[in-house]
Amino acid sequence: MGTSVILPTTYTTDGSSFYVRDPSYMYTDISSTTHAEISSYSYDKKAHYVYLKGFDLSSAVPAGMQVDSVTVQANVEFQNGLNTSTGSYPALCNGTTVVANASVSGNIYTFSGLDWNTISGYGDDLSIRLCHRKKNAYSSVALYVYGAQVNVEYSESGGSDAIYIKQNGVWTEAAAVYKKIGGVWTEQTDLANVFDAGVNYVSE
Amino acid sequence: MAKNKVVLADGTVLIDLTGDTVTSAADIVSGKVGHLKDGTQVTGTLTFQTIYSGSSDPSAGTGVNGDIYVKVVS
Repeated sequence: MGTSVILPTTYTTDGSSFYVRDPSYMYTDISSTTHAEISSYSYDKKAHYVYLKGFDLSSAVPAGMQVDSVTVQANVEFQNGLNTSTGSYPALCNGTTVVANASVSGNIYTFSGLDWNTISGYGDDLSIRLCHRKKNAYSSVALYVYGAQVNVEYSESGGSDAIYIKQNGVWTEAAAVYKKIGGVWTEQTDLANVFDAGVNYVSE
Repeated sequence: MAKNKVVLADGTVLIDLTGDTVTSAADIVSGKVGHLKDGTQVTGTLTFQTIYSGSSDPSAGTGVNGDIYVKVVS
């Protein structure tokens, strides 16, 4: 059992004019006490997006391990003057497409119930969309971003054992292995202990 | 007393088991009668479990307890 924590390394925008102060403070985990400030130069009350990304998931899972769960978290603080409706919450995206919405506790936004194969399949397109939307046009207000992280919990893969049978000169992995017990064929899951010590086996 | 070697008076070796490698009943298939290298007659106790294979689930009538069935996808 182990956990990998992967941090963002960069950000992009939706093309809107932003000022991002101390962007490196976004590239830390959610326990950080320092923050980046995202301000919009736009004089409107529309939603403007910054995409926090650059999560390198390629080495998140050590060899021989299987993923048990994956969650994504962001620590974001809306300053007074910003729209704080649920539509302004951080959203998990594949590119610019929202794929999951967050639950919130304080300033921590958590995306859970994620499928590892799906998330890792997004590659460089995995991002956390941060929304900057003013309540009042012409106001100057910042979104504080303390950090974000992808948490990958993994454990030893139970499926590492396999039994092969040679047929027509080719070794083929068994799709299932049964043992007759009490007159009933019983599928075996503990492949390392299928064969009894001291017993001689012959092929049919 | 069991005999494992018989030599005639003229020196002819009529039978010689001393070079055999059967040392216990477990070296002989179960139910078969043979001799150990010391000449003792024994009934074999060596048993085998069978490993079957196929592309479908094993049928109930196949095999005995302890046998293995390996299912492969063809």
